Amino acid sequence: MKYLTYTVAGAALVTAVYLATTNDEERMAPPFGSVPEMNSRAPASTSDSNSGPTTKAPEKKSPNNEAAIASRLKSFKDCADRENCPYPQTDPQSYEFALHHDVANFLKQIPAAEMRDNSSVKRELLDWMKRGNGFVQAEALKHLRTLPPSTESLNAVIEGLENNYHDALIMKQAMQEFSRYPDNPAVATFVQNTLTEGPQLSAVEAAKGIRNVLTPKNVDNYEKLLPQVRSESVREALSASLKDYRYSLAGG
Amino acid sequence: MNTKKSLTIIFGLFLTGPAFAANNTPDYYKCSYREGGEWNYGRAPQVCSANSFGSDSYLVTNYSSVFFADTASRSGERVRYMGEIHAVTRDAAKAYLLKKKPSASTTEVNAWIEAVVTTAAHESFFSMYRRTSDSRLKMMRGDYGHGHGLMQIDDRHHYSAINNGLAWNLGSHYTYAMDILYTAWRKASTLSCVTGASNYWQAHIRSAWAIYNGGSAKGCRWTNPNDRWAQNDKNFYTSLTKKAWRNHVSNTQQATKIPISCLMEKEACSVTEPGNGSTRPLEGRLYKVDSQICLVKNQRFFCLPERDRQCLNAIGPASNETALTWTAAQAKVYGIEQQDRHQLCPQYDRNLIPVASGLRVLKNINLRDTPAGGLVTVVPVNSVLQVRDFEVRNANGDRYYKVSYQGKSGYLYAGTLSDNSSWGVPVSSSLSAPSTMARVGDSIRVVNLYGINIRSTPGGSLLGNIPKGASVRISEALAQGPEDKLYYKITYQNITGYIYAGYTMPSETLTDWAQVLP
Repeated sequence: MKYLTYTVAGAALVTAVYLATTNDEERMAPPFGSVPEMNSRAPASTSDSNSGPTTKAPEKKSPNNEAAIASRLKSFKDCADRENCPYPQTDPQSYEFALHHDVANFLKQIPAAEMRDNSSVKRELLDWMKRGNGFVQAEALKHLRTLPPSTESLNAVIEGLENNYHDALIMKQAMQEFSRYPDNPAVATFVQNTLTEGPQLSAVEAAKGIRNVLTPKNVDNYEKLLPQVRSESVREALSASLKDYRYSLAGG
Repeated sequence: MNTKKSLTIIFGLFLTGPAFAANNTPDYYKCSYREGGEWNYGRAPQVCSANSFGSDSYLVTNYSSVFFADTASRSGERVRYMGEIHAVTRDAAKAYLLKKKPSASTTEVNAWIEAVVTTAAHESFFSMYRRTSDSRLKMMRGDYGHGHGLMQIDDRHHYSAINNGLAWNLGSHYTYAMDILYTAWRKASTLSCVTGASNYWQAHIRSAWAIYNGGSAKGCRWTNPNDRWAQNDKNFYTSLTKKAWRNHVSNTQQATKIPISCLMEKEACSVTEPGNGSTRPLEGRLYKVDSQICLVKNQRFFCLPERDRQCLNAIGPASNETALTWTAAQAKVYGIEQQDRHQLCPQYDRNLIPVASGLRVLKNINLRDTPAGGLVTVVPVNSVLQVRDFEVRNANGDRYYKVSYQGKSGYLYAGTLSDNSSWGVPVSSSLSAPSTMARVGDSIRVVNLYGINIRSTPGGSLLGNIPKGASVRISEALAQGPEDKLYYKITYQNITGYIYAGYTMPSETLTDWAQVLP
């Protein structure tokens, strides 16, 4: 893996940008056979780091796959916690950014068949939903959508959104996920708080996507919220969404 | 500013939170006419042409008082500039927090303002726009061109936002950066290094900035002198406590005419001043009444959404003047005549192409994220698109149409009152691509679960219902209201009337109602 570096007056490295892998020796082996190529830099301390390249996919899914995937996701967490993996430290966020980039790429390549409810992979996925940046969360949400709704998953999504509250694109994506939790009180509390006091661009996306969580039972609650929404653009978007939903219930 | 200071500032030039699409953006991305500066307030290096990310005319209309003029006397210009940019930043910060947390104590509001102001000073020396000696309007670019503007929004980590023009437009620049800082602010309030600190608000500010600079896990970084990035926190602390910017701001309570609270949410905002104290409205004056702009004629208020201000010229001269602020309750005493933009705007501009109609573009035209904003793509000449929204801006009657092209939605410029026919013309021919909005002659299938009611007029008395799954042919398509509510005229089982089909602003719900059949 190669990183671009820049120098400032010959004294300091200022920033780093992830680049495509150019050196085969630097490519880490995939942790399981069904993924043809992983572009990930795994921590040196992980148990699978010496497993060597595997290019042939297994003929059948095996428990080893689940264990390997979970292990890799866990090892990424170790990287995040210890900050001792070979990611660049050339600016305050270069390490985290490169790490999360790898995590997002790794998640992207996990086959849907490997994502099962009540699995160790799901547990790791939920952890990354909570702590990942927007790219990681986007991939985690895609996987979660293939799994049955659960309180555990929902809590992870909400916690992740709160940690990355300013990310309006993730908010937009999460509103679709919330459609799988109709009349859920945790969703209602989170969405209502976002509309009234969340970061501006996230609040606008929540208002635009409110239809995903509206039901005949809860629409009144959101209408009552309107006077508490002080942002004009959030209020306008919410008002338009609510009116449209009312129309739809009545047939327009 | 000495070299050592310059270097430490460069380390500070980084905005955290890789929230949006990232990119391996090259140094000085979309940077033309690059020029240096000085490590001093308002002129931090480098600057690049602002119009790579949006139109200069928009900036001139809305933000000219915060352009640093390179050709003016430097020291005098710095004092003028700093007074204004500080005032705008202070008001932007205050407006943001009070919208998000109206219960915030005065102490917290002041601390938040201090956090934002210090961040602007520390990240960019309050540098944003500059009118350079070549007369070009440029924008500050730090960190090898990656950091954009006042709050140094990084184009590698916020690539989509940069390209959408969010960092280019000072209003959305504040909003975008404050969303990140506010997320950090909330998080900071939960950290032990803040809750247990003897100087609570100073600790709060330091933690919020540490998160802004280093990521969500770094809120207490400033307490660890051995942290790899401890120097960043020390430098910020110096900015926070020394407040060197104060040397250039003679009056920290200076007022600004830039309607920044509005511009942080919308592109089109009027400059306002308090109501004149008169108990009667002034004939022919513009009034801002809540979120609307109104023209007083015969002592009645004729009102439209603020973005349609120019269309009030159809009622009477609505020149480009400051609007007086009145409450809706005050205006109601005299009567409010709510206008429909789809009726009034075509009276002002006879060539305006209505929503749902076809438009043939007669040039290659940029498609922008917003009327003034970032470039999305280029729509080639002779493309036939469907108008999904329109805007008419400024006294020239500059018009913009919202269209969808190759799956990308945005606005394209289509000329002025006088030259619009050379930019685009209405057509009834086939569209260049399928649309989710029906046109006359199209057939639709109802998808709304409860069917769609047939009414005598748009929103009028009920005549019948078309059940889900049924198909009808459109004989007329029209839009109403600020949300561009769409109505189709149809005939179903011998009943002729209008059906509602969703809206297009500020988002779109058309596909929740009906599907246009191929």
